Amino acid sequence: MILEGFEIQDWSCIRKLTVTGLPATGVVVLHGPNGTGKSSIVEALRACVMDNKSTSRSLGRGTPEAKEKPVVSVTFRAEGNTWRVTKQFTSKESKLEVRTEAGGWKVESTDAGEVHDRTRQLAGGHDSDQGLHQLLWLTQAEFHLPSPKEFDAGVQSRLREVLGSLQTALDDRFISEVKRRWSRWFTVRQKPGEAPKLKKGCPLDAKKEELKGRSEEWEAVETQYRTLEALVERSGELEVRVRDLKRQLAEKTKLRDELRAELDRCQARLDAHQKALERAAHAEKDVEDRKKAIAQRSEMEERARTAQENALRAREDAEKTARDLETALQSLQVKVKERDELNQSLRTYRDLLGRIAERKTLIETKGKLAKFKEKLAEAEVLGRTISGLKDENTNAPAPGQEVLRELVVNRQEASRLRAELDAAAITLSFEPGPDAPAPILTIDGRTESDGAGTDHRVRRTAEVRVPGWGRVRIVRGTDTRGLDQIEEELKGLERKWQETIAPFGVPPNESDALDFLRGRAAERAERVMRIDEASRELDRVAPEGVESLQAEIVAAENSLAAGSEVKDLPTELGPLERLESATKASVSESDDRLHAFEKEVLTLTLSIEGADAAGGKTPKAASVARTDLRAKEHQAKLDENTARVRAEHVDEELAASTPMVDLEAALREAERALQTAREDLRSTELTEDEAGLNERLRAATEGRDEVEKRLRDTEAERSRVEGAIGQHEGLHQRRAEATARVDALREQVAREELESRAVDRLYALFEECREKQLSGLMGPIHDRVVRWMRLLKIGDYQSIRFNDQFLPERLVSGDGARERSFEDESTGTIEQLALMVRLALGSLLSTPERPMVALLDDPLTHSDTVRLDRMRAVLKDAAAGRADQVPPSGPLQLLVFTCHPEWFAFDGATRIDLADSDVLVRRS
Amino acid sequence: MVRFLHLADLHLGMRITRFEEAACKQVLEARFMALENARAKAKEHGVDFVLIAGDLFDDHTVSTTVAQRPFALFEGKSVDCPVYIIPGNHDPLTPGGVWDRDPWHREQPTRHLKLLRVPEPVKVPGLPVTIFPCPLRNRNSTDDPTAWIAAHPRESGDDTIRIGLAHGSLNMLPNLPLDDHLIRRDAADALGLDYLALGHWHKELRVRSRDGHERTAYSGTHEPLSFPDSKATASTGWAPCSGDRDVFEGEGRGKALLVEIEEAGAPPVIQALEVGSLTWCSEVCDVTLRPIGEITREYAGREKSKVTLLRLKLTGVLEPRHFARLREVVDLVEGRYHVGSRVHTDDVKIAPSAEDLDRLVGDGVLSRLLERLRDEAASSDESVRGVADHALKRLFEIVCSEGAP
Repeated sequence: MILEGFEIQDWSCIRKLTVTGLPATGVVVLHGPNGTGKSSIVEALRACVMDNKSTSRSLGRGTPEAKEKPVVSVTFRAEGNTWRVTKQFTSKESKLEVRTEAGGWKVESTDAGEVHDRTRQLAGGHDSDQGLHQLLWLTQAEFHLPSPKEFDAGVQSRLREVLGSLQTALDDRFISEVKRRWSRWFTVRQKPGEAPKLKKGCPLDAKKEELKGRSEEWEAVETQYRTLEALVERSGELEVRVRDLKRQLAEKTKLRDELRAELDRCQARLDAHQKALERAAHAEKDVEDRKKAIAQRSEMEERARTAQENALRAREDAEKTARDLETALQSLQVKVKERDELNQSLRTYRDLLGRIAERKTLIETKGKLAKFKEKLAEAEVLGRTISGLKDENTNAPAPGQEVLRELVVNRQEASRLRAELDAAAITLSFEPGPDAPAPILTIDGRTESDGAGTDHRVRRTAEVRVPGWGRVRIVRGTDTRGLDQIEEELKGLERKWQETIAPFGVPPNESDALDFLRGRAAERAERVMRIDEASRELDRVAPEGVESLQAEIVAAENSLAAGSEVKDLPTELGPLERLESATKASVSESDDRLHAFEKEVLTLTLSIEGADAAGGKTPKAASVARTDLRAKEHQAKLDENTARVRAEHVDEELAASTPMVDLEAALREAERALQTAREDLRSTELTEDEAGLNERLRAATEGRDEVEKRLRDTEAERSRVEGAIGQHEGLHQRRAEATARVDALREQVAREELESRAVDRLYALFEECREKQLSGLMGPIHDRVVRWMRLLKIGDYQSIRFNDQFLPERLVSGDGARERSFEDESTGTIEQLALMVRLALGSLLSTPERPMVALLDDPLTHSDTVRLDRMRAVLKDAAAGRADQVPPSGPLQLLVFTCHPEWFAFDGATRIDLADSDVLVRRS
Repeated sequence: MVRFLHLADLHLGMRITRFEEAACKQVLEARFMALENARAKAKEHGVDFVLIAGDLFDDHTVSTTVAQRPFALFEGKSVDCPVYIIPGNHDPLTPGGVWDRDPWHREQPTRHLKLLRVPEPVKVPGLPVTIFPCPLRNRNSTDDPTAWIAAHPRESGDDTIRIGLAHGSLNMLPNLPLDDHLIRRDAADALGLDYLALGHWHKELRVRSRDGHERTAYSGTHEPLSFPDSKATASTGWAPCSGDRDVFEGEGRGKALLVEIEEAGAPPVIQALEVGSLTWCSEVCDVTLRPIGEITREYAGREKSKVTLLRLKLTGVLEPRHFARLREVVDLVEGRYHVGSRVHTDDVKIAPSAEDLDRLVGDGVLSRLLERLRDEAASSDESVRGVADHALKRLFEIVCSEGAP
């Protein structure tokens, strides 16, 4: 079906619309701003051609509100003829006409039902949301494709007719059975090449779990078996070791017994040898003791000689130290005497310096007294000046700046209020109608008897009462206050003015009072400035006050009066200072000499008495041994005494010890006894075997005991191992059972796995093959949409996967490795892709003999301007069709309703301006 | 003349794992039944004694129940001759092992059973026979267990029949493990034995001595414990502890040797007796060459099927409509034969005829799928091939199932 034109009257907001001469193919853009009635036009066309009989009252927005009944007439081409259907809705008025060859119209039917049915049949036999219209007649802003379940089966069937068979009934039954079996093990199909994940709890999964458990049991049994094998091996080793140890024990026992017999045989010789050994040892010890006693006697004699020599040396040291002390004491007495004389001279010089200082102080005090008296006179003049200025301020009071500002504001506000009070009065006049009752007029509280035609001056309030109507009241004043209130405020201001200026002695009603007060304030300010200057000068002359100056004068006079006159000294300052300088030089020289003497005395004292005696002036002296002469003398006496006592003590020891002669005789006796013992030892000497016999016996006994212990340990271990082996009774059977269970389960799992993998493979291969078949069949649509996608630069997709219902499901990336769901794209992209698929599918069913109209209400609202620009080419291409394609597609008549004519402005498009009143007249 | 029964490798309490539990029990029980058969044969032939040449038990840790049963079986009234036993490499004389437990640790003499723990000559009471037992103490050893006999050569005037009783590998094959208790090949000659009764190998084997008489023999097992040619068909899960080799493959039937020796130096007369309880068979059948019905009939007609433990492997190629009939063979074998019997059908390929192909898969997706699966089934990758083969079977199973055209 192709639309040639249509007329709409009284449908929704449309009073009248006339569109004629629509081109059979290509893009027609019907544009107008929002509210023009574009969607109403689409609804009217849907209702007239497909959806509603004229008698229908379910017209949505087309339902008439006024008397006028909506009339829609559509002229269209179908089945080789031009038809015109006219329906006056909510009535039986319907008419289907066919154009005659002469160009006139022949009525085919006027029966509402027949007209509707035949028209619907000519348009495709479906409602406007079914059949091919489901794809090509888009409601406003519709952009999603129908779901596979909703997609019209008839259209699918027609597509199959054109494209070929996708999947046979056998295929359907087969894949249905495969899926049923597949779902026994799996839930989610994986990507190609990936193994599917097993369903949790499915029989195979359960068997695998069981196998895992059984394998663990089997592993435990095998571990026991390995333990047993190790025990058996250990048992064999222990058996061998026991045999070996028994052999060793027998050998060691034999050796030990032989050694014991040998020992018994040699016992007498061994005893004699032992006794000789002991005697020789005793004699050797005796000789050693004697030698030691002789050495001790020699050492004692040496010590006695050394002590005598030490005592003699100590006595000589003591005598020399006493002589040194005497010489030092005499030197000290001479130095002390000279120091005392120098001290006396120094005291005389210092006394003279004191008297010179007194004379200098007296001369300075006289100078100060004269200066104090000058400052006192100046301070008294300044004090009088300040006092005079302060008196003037007291006698002529003046307001402060703050008070002055308040007074100025007071006067300004009073002036403003007075002005308001003095403003011109209202003049009120009125003129009642001829039959109107006489009004009652009250002005400023007065009632006027008859005021008609007269001007009345209103000062404060006016009230006009009109009998039978009401009253009018006029109140003068500002928007918030009446004149009474203003007057009251003015009185308050005056009262405050008077209270404020009264203290300054100005009459309240004096006209220039404010200027007078301003003058007073200025004068007072000047006086205050002068007082400040005089006060600063006074502070400079007498910073501590006049009384302080007076006190200092008195003090200086008293000082002069008290000072005694110093005789023998110059009265002038110059000679006095020269004398003072000479005296100070003498004092300094005497001080230096005295200091030198003091040092010498101290040094001598230290050398004689040490630091303690010198008053601790040398701190180091306390921490070191005393080296002074007196200490040395004392120490030398002590040393002499000690050496003498020690020599006497050693002499006494020497006298008490055995004499050297006796000791030497005893040594000779002991050496003879040793000689005898050694001869006895030689006579009882043992052979090498006899000497090592005891040691060998001990080693043999220990060796045997060790082997015996090892044998016992080994036998105990063997016993334990045998016991442990014995506890494995029945292990063989348990092992066989565990292995059998695992083997059986492994076989079952392997079979089930093979089954699942085979079914999964069937499923995967079926999908692959179906996909290939589908892509072969969908080639014309697929290629066209992909070409348009590339034109729009939508992603880097290489291909589209279509489902059995010819609808796109997934987009495949350029490298084929990535797939994306159609619905995962952006809204704008989905809209563009969906429209392209609609056009591709629709145009496949449209032929030059049976062209189709596509009606797009406000399409591509989610597209950006770049894509829109490219989409125009797509629309143009879709409308033109592809006669060279196999199977061919198109052309299409594309009616685009839009409020954005610029989006669809391209060459070849027919543009109809719905805002043009020649085309469309809206209801007022 | 002496007559005795030579048995070996009874492997009681055998460790088999590749059977379902019920089948396992029956197979294990069959070994005791075979032992009863042997006992009956001994009585039937009036043997003077019985020799068991090692591996009475499958392991030295078998349960007490297993350990007691052969003891009771030979100590009972049904036996009227001595039974000489040596430990083998599966049940060596391990301290704490089966021989140290009740009832085998009891002091000798028992009524009939003579457990020969020590390698020393044993005179058989009332007979001119000396037995030279070679008990094993370890699973593996590089020692020749018969070596000790060399210290006991036949003395002048000794006219007793000398019989060796040993367990190990006769050193007559290449590549035998050195620690497999190797016995010199000419042991019977070198040690002056009239007969060397051996155990360890599971097939009957007789070896001639220098004098041309068979004086050395393996009796084989009294009851099979593996399928003949087991590597190609099925495994029981049992494994020898000295490494898997051909000598441990069974013959499918249990045997014992009845030996008669007239006198010292006389040639032994050896006769194999069937004492087995079950017959173990492993067979391969190509379904391409024979109709399924014919195969079914053949297996239905076989005798003693209940005591036949069958492992049948089907191979070849079938058309899809016939593939389901494999079930008939499976059901028959699993129903009529021993409970442990199984039919292996994994190797049967499925391939429709050209005219069936369109009817079965049509010209839709399935036809492409079939093409792909066939490519994968020809893959060199075994795992891919395995999955594809199985998937093909499932594909045809689904399309041939009820409701498909």
